[in-house]
Order: sequence, then C-alpha cells, then structure tokens
Amino acid sequence: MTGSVNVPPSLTETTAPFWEGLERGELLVFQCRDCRTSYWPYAACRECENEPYLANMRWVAASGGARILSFNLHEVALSPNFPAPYVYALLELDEGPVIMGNIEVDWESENPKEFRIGDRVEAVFVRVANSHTVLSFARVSGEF
Amino acid sequence: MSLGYSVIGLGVTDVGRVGNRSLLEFEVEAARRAIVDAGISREQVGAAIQMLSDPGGNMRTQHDDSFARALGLPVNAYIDHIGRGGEYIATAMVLGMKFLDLGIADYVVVSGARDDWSRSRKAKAATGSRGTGSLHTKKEGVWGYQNGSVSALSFHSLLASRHIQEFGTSEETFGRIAVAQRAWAQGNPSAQMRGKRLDLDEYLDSPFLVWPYRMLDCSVQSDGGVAFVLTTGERAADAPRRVDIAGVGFGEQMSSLWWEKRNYTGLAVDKAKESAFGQAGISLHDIDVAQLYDCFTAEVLCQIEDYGWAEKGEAEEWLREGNNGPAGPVPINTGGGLLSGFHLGNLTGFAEAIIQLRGDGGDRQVPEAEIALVTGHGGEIISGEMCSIHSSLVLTGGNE
Repeated sequence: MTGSVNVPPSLTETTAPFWEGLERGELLVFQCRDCRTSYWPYAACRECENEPYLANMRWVAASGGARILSFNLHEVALSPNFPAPYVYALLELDEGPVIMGNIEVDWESENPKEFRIGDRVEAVFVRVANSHTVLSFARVSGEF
Repeated sequence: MSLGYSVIGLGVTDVGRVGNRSLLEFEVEAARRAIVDAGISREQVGAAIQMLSDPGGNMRTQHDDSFARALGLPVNAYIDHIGRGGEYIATAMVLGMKFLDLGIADYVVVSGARDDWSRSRKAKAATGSRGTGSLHTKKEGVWGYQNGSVSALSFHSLLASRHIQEFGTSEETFGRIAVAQRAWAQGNPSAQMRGKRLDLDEYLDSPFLVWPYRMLDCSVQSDGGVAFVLTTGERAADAPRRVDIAGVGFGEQMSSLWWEKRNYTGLAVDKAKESAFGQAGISLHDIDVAQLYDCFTAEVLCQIEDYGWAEKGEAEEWLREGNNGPAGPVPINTGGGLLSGFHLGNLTGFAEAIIQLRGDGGDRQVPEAEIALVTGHGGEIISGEMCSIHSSLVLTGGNE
C-alpha cells in the first residue's frame, strides 16, 4: 500500500502518456527512435543527432526491473492526502533512466530502514480508487 | 582583491514570524532602508532589481507594475524577477554589475523578500497538514506528488539517506550541524531559534519526520526582506561601511545530469568555487566566515566536503571537533543560518556576511572577519524535483 489517495495528476502533452501508461499497467520511458537510448521523463536525445529531435522520440514500455538508488521513510503524514508510514524512493530502471516511486513494505515482517542501495525491485501499479494509478515497486528477493 | 564593485548599503526588515505583511511591503521597506544606509538619495538610484524566484505556478510568477509602483524610484530599469530556488544574490549581483558597466545606472538597489512563514501557516491551517515544508507551493507534472512527495522534506531527505548509505554517515553528524548552528543563533537577535538551546542528546531523542530527517534537520519558515545598494568601487571609495565584491561563481548540477547517475552526494560546488575563488585570488583557508546554504543539514555536510574543509564522506570527525561552531576556527552560518536563524533563501547568508564584515555582529561577531563566503542554493539534484544551481560569492570588508 502506498501513501497515495485521490489526488489526480495534472496532465499535459508531455506528461499524459506516462500516466496513461500506468493505467494500462505499463511503465513508459521516452526512447530515441534512432539510437534507442531511453529517458525519463520527456527529454531530447543526448546520444545522437536524431533530427527532428523530440518528434523522433516515442514512449515505450520498460521492463519494470529497477534498483534502489535512495529512499526515505515518511514516518509522519506531512499531508492528510498521504497517510504515513510510506516509503518514497529514487530508482534506477534497467533501461537506464532514474525515476521516483514508492516501495511496497510488508510492515509485519520488514523494516524499510534495512533496505539497501542496489536492492532489486520490480514495478507494480497501484490503483487509487476512482482516480488514477501510481507507480510503486515491490522488492525482489533472491538473485540480483 | 575586488572585482570593482561594492555593496554600500544594507536594508533588513523585521524577519521571522512576522505575519500580516505583503512581499511588496517587505521589499519596499528593505530597499528604502538600504538606500538610507548607503547615504545616497533616491534620485541617484538608476536601476532596481526585485529578487523573486520559484516559478511554481503561483502568484510569484506574475509580472505587473506592482514592484515599480510600490518602490516608486525614478530609475532607468526595473527588473521584477530574478533568482533560482533559494539563490537570489549572485544572479542579481551579476545583472547589477552589468547595469553599472554599461552606464545604465550609477547605483543599483536590489531587494528581495519571502512570506513563507505566513503562507505556510495558512496552508497548514487550511489543509490540516503538518511538517515543515512550503506546503503552499506544489510541483506539478510527473514529479512525485502522487507518490507522497508533498514537501521539500520528502525529497531532500533522499540526499541524506544516500550519504548515509554511501559513507556510513551517523545521525550524530547531522545532529552536530543542527546543534552548532543553534548555538550561533543564540547570538543573533533576529534568529527564530534564539532562546531555544539544543544539545546533541535532545537532537537524537527527537522523532523522525521523514527518516533519516528529524524536524531539527529542517530549516525554519520566515517572513521578511533584505535589500542592498550596489555601485562601482570608484563611487564606493569614500563610503565608510562598504563591502567589496571579490568573486562570483556559479555551478550547475545539471552539467552532470541527475539521470546520468554519476553523482548523488556532491553538490555543484566545483565550478562555482573555482570561478569565485579564482577571481578573488583566495584559497579556502583565507575565508573568515562562511554562510553556507542550509535548507537542510545535509546541504551543510556536503558543502563542508565539497568546498574541501573535509574529504568526501569524512566530515564526521571535522564536525566532532567543533570546527564550525562559535568556538571553532571555521565559523559557519554565524547567525544560525536557515536552520535556526531565518529563511529568506540566500538573502539570509548574504545579510549575515555583510553584518560580519562590517563588524556589526554583536554577540556573534567573528573577530577580524575580513573575507566572507556566501553560497546560494545547494545545487543538489539527486532527483529531478530539486533545484540544481549553486552560487559562490566572495565578499571582503572594504575599509577595515
């Protein structure tokens, strides 16, 4: 369970595809059609001269595999919209980009303060009732 | 050791938990005080710069006649927005210098203010929110609000968390920064935490808000304004209380893009320091007082390491020795900083530097303070939610 409640994201031309992807259970990254480098969020390709630039990019589904880069533990609810506790994290997707999300915690058996940089996680899609879907990650045990 | 420009007047309004006053009122009062302090007439001011940053989709982004109308100076140029995040002074300074170079102005008045204490208090009352962040500002788009990244504390704590995991940094390390600055605040009549002493045990016993951060790792929220008058070194030559600009530099963390994953614990200090120290012809150990941008404790920790007072990941021992406190050889954030003093972005550190260089620091005065460093915003960009600019400003006492 993540901390999110019914506060839908504001959508623009550059952000809507990402949120629409989450609704379908897809984690979208922004990929260069020429060299296939992936970015998140919306960005021009820095690896090649892919004229006409942003028009030569597309949103594609990432594998969902990622590693923890940093995280915190909201022990106190800073806003009534997000009941605590919850973990907010910075993650490195296997495709390269860095993204923000939550990390699912089994509060009975896990202490998030023992999570470590480099821990493997996998994208999960958490539906907020009558609203939108947020990106979260579940820890993957076993081989890294 | 001067770039040929001087600050000849400083204006500071009431700061802290003020309330019931507009940004404009603070800006105008600070500007008028600075002009009086400079000993010049209003007619001599040729340009006026308003330091407003944070294009966050709220009222701060408006352009209208209010600054010019309220300030009412017969100037050739009004600039009503400059700054980026908590960095105001260096960007405004560079613009002001160019006005002087081009002969557009002989004297430039630069003014800035915040009303975050009032606005944050209203926002908390209206929403039932708690915590320390600027809850009245909200980022939109893909950034993490929907994941519960609701205030600066939500994402700034990622920097501290990463530092802890990379270097084994202890809780005490963060605590010692909070404790030292609280001690400095006791000598500053304008500090919001004056009269509230703090020791390390109290820090460690206090609860986490967003682990690894406690309330005591966070800056205060404040109302108030600061202004200064800038002119050429030539015109300032006879000004009795001038402070000279010796170096200005900028660093941009986006030069090593956050998504390139090359750096999670270093701030954009290198280039800013190289420019500012190079212009000033100084090295780190020449600095008598340092006003480091301290929105949270980790920004101070990282700057202590990135400027080179301690090796990366090794500031713990340096802090344990008390180097940065009132009895230490490297006075850092001598008015209590943003953590324990008041938070007007880097207007806070700038005002404190001028006060120290003029010898006006009273109980907190650093003896023989002749060279001051003021930094602006952390330039930390572990996540895309953060502001990536870092500025270094070196100031020297003009007449002492």
